[in-house]
Amino acid sequence: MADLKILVLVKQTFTTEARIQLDAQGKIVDKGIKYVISPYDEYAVEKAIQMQEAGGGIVRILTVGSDKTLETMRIALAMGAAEAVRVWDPCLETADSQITAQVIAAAMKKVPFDLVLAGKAAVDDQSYEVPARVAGLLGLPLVNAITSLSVSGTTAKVERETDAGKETIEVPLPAVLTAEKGLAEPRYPTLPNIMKAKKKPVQVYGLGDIGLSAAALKPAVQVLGLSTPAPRKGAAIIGGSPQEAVKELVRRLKEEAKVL
Amino acid sequence: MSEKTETEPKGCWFLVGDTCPEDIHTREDMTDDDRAMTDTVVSFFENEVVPKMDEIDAQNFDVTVGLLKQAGELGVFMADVPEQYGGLGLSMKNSAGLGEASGMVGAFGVACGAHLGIGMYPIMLFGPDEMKEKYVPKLATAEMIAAFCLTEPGCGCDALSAKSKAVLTEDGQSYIINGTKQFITNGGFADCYTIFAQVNGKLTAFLVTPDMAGFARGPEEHKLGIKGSSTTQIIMTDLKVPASNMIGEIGEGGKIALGILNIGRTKLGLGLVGGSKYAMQVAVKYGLERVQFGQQIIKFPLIKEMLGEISARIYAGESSTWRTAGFIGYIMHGIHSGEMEPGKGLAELAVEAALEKVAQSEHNDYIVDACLQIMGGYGYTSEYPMERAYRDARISRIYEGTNEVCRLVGGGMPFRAAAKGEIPLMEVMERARFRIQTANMDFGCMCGPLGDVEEQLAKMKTIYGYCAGLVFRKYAGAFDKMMEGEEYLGNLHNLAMEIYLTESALLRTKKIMAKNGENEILAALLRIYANYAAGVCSKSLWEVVRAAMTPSQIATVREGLNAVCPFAVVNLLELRRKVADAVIAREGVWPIW
Repeated sequence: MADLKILVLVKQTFTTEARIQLDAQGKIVDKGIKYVISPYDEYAVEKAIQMQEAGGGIVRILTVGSDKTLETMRIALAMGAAEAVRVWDPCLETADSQITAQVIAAAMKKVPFDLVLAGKAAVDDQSYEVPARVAGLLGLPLVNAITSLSVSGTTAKVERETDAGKETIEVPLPAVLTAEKGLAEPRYPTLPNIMKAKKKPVQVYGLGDIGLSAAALKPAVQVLGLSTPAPRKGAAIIGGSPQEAVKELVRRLKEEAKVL
Repeated sequence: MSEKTETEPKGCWFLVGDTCPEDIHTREDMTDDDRAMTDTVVSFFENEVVPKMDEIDAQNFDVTVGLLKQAGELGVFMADVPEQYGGLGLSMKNSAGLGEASGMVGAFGVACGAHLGIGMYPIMLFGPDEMKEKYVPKLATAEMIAAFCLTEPGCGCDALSAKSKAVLTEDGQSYIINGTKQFITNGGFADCYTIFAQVNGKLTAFLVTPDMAGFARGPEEHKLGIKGSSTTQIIMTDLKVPASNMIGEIGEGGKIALGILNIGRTKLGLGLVGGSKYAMQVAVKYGLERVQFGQQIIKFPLIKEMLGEISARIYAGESSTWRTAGFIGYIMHGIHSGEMEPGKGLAELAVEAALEKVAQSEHNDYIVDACLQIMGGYGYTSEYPMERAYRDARISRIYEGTNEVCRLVGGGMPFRAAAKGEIPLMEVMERARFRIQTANMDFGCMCGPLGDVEEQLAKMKTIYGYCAGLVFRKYAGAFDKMMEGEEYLGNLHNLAMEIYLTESALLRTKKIMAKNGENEILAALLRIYANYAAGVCSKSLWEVVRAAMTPSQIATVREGLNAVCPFAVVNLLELRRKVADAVIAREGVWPIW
C-alpha cells in the first residue's frame, strides 16, 4: 500500500547494560545512565522504515515523555521515520500503563494511521500492557510478538512464534501489532541522517491539546517501593573428573539445594 | 603572566599567557548531534568491529576493507569534509568523539586514522579543485581508501630528505616518478596514495593510484603490534602520473607533509585517549569479577592506586586533546572559508600537536601497562584483549614522527615563534629569571577552590620561562645551535607538555564547576595529575639548571629554585582512593564523576 500510514509507539528506556542504583529515598539514580529506544520498539521502528522504503507510505513515531526523550526520538528520525509526535505533561512522570495508554489513544486521534506498531514490551518495566490497552481503548485488533509482517490492501499478514510452532495470522487494518526480536534488525543511523533528523518535524502536545486533563487520569497501579535484587551468591566450581563432578553435583542438588 | 588572551586560540599561547576557562573546547561542549554521532560510531565499533579483532589481526583484509566500507557508508569519515564534497561540513570540534572512538579498535582504528587523518587531508586541503571534486566525495564514503606515503627506506625521521624523484616529461603533461616508500599504512589495499617526491630537489606531493603503470606494492611487514593494519612498501618504477595530479605547488611538499602530520598527531592523541578509556573499562570489568583472598581484586588499595593514576591521566589527556580539537576546528574553519592559507594554518598547530602526540602516547603506554598488570597472568595471555592493547600501544611512540622528533618540535618551535614575533617569549623568560633571582613566588590572588593548582601552574610556567632563558643564553639565541642541544629541548618539551595538560585539566575543571558546582572527583582527578606534572617539572628544572649553570651560579639562586619547585601539598593516597571508588562505582565506564 503506497500511502500506508504507519504509527510506531516508542518508549525511551535505560540501556540494558545500565546498572540500576537507588538513592536514599529509594528513587532510581539516572545520573550517567545512557538512554536508548527500548529495543523491542526499535525492531518496530526498523520494520516500519523498511516498509516505508519498500513501498512508500509514511512512518510517524509517537512517544509519551519529557524533552529528555528528544535525543532518542532523533535516533528514530535519523533511522528514517518522517515525523515524531511527543505528548507530555509533568503529571505523567509517574504514569502507569493505564494512563500511558489513555494518553496515547487520545493523541492518536490527532495522528492519522493505518497500522500501529510497537515493541511487545518496554525493557524497563516489562509490563507488556500499553499496546494492548491502546488497542482496547480504540477497539482495534491486536497481535502480539510478531516476527514477520507484510501488508496487502487493507490486510496485514503476520507470523508469530508459539510453543507449538509458527502461527500465521491475517488481520484487518487498522490494527495494533507488537514486535518480537527478529522482526527486523535495526540499522545504525548514518551520520548524515543524524544531522538531517534535526530538521524533521517534532509535534509536541500537552494534555489539553489531546482533550485530556490531569484530573481525569486515574492510575490503576500504585508503586509502593523499589528495591534492587539481592546480590547473587557466589558460585561453586566442582572439580574432579566429569563422572565424579556429576556425582557430586547430584549429591549437592539433593542434599544441599534440595531441588531433586 | 597577566596578559589576557584574545578569544581566538593561538599556537604556543599557553606558554606565555593565560586562557579563560570558557575559551577552551571540552568534551562537555558536545552538542546533541555530536553525541548521537559518537554513540552510533561507538556501537558500530563495539558490535561489528570488536568481535572481529582476531580476524583483523590475522590480516584477513577482506574483513578490514569490508568494515572500512561499512564505516564509510555510516559516515564515520564524513564529519570533517566540507558539504560541497559530500561531507557534513563539521570540524574536529564536533568529530573529536569519533576520533576517540577509533582508539577502541586497535589496528582497525589505525586503518581509519591513516585513511582519514593523513590519507584524505592532503587532497582535501591542498589539492586542486578538480582533484577534490573527483576524489574527496569517494574518500568521504570510503568508496576509495587513502594512504599517505612520506617515509622511505633510508628516510624516516629525516623525512623531507626523501630520495624519490619526479621528472617532468618532455611534453610537460606528466611526471615520471621513481622511488620506494616504506611502512605505508593501508599500503596493501588503498586506492589513492599521496606520495612525496623531489622535483629538481624540491619536495612535492602527488596523487598516485594503483592502476598507474609502474606502481607496485611490497609484501606485508611482520610487526610487534597493530598486526591487522596493512603495512607495505610502495614501489614506483618509471611511474607515469599526470601533471594535474600534483597536490599543491612544486616545493610545497614539506609544508604539506608537516601540516598534515600536525593533524595526524592530534587525531592520534584523541584515539589514544579513547583507547585508554576502553582499556580501563576492560581492566575494571575483569577486576570486579576476579576474587582473591575473598575480595574483588579491584578493591585492593594498590589496585586502586593504579586506577587513580590511570583516571587522572585520562582526565588530563581528554582535557588537552579536546582543547586542541577545538583549536583545530577554529583553524579548519579559517582554511575552509578561505581566510587562512592551509599551510600557515596547520603550522600554527605544530607545538600543540607535538605535545599531544608525545603526552598521549606515553600516557597510553603507562595505562595499558597498568591495565595489564591489574589483569595479572590472564592479562598476559592472548585470551584477553589487554595483551593486544599492550603490543598495539608501542607503535604510537614511533609513528607520526618519533617522540624524539616531536620533542625537538615541542622544545624548539617556541623559540622560532618568538623570533618571528608571534609570542612574547623573551619577556616571559626575563620575568621568570627575575622571579627566581628574587625568589618571588607571589602570583597574586589565587584563593578560589582550585587556587593551589593555579599557583602550581604559575610556578610551572615560571620554570619553563627560566629554563627556556638558560637554553637561549647558553646558545646565544642561535636557533641552529639550540637545535643541537637536544636534551635541553627535550626538557623544555616536557615542561611545555605538562603545562599544557595541567592547564587544560584546570581550565576544564573550572568550566564544569562554574556550570554544575564543585565536584570532589573532578578536583581529585586534577590534583592527582597536577602532582604528577609537578614531579616531571622539578626533574626537568634541575636537569637543565645543573647542565647549564655552574655550581656557584646555582648557589646565587638556590632560594628561588627551591621556592619554584611546584609541589602542591595533597594527600595523594586519599585522592586516588576517592577517584578509584568512583571508577569502581561506574564499573570503569568514563566519565566517572
